[in-house]
Amino acid sequence: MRRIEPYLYALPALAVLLVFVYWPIVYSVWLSVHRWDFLMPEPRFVGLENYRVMLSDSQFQNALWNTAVFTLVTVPPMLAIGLLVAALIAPPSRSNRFFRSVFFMPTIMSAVAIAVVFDWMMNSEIGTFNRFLRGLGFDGVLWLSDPENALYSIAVVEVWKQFGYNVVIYAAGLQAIPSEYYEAARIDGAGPSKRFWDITFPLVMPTTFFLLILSVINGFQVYTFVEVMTEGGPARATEVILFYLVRVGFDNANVGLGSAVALFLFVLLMGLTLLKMSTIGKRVAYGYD
Amino acid sequence: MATIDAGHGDATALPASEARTFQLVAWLDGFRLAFLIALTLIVLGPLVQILLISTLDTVEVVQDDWVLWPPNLDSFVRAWTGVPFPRYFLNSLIITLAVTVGSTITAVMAAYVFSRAVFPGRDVLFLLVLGTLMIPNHVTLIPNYLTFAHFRMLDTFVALILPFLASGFSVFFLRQFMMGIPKSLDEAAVLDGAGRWKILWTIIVPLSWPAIVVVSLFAFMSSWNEFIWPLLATTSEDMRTVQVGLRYLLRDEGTASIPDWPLVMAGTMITLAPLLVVYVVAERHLIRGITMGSFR
Repeated sequence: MRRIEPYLYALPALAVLLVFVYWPIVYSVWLSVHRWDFLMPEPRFVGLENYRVMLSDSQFQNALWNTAVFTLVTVPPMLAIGLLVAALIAPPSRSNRFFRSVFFMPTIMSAVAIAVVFDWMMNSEIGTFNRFLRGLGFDGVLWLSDPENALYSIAVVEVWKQFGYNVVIYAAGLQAIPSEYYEAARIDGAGPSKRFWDITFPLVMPTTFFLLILSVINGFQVYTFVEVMTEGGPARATEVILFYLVRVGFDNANVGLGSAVALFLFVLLMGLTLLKMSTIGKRVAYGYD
Repeated sequence: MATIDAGHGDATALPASEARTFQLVAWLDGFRLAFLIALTLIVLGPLVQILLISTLDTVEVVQDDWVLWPPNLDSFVRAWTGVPFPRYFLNSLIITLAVTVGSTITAVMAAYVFSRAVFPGRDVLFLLVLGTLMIPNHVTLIPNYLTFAHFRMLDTFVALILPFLASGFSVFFLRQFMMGIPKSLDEAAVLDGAGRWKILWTIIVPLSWPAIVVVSLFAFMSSWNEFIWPLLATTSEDMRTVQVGLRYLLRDEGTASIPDWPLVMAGTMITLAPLLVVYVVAERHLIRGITMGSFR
């Protein structure tokens, strides 16, 4: 009894993870090489056919492209705003703590609720943004109903929601930089901008690297804003990979193709995740070397 | 801040170049504050919109002039009686409480043996737990859906709770914390004749409280905000969570009707309320957890 006791403690957690995290991967691999949909009620082995269909599907290519564009336009501003704001509020003071709490708040808020509010604000007829623009004498913008704009409008929401996370992580990274560096630079006559580019920027590079990978991983998994605000439209202009996965795998009940998409995205993110794991522990210690 | 004080100092007594530097610093600080306040307004603006619109009526909301006082709370009444929002809220509450308590308990127990027991295969099993951090949620959607469909358990609380009863992150985070608790405490308890179970609950858990708070806060937030799984795994209106209910409140499937904005915003407020309450109370712990465990 004493010998198996430790296993019993770990068992509940391990069992759940095995059944609902590891088994799905095995099952996905199996599903992805089978055809199984409404027309084919019994799964049939089709080899790599699902992957071929996926890669040659122009809608999949469109979804991949949209996801890449979304990630590309959200990540740089999130990092830049994150670092700038963190640099402004890094010294621990009461007002800075207040700002940090406010900026972090959207990251814990429900993505559905945020999507709903921005859906209202970006409404072309009665939304806040266009009321404001019209008040200033400009024409309203079709934020979500113009295929040219919709993806970028959703990108704005993503930046609004997530920049505060970067602020918090950057602020922690900045506090790890010894203040003597800044004092020495000040004595040497370096101004605020030189101090930023010569001390702050290089020394938070590991944090930047970590946040860059994390943001790219998150960007590639955007789903909720699209589902709630545009449902992939207009004209598939905001259809991202996860939305395509759900449409194919659930709405069309083509679980083989859906699993192929899931595994494709998994492998794509895997490399990034491994890179991210490699940064653990190197991040904060950097400044003391 | 020191820079603000510098601006109030007697600048004329200083050499001209220094006085100019101080003026620049004061000016920069004013600019900094203006920027931060503007950003605060940008962050809080949408929240104010929710509050304002939820107090309007459906005619008013499309007009240009809003009568904001006295606030009309009719939309909240409608959200609570006209649509099954109380049901969504109850579902979310049941699921979130079960997941928060359940995943924290399984994590505490696993982290305990991973951090202090010695047994064959321990490191392999821990790596297995760690590995789940690298597996994105979306890979599990189709297989888990088929698993629950196979056992005819879609659209049940079991389907909405069970997959979330363990969290690799929670195990990892708690293990890291428990590694820092001196082993001599356990050894002393063993000499007193305490078993593993007793040591866990009387020594380890009370000492791990800061980490347990962080882990359960994360579990609470992510469970309450979970959207894609309940969206896919529920079919009946009665099983919807607030997130799914809110999504259909905005736009019901198939119909291209104009949203009832005051009602939708009342629903949004109800969805956000528990999060905002927890945030105000526990923001300090959350930020500490984020900066300690930014491996997620």
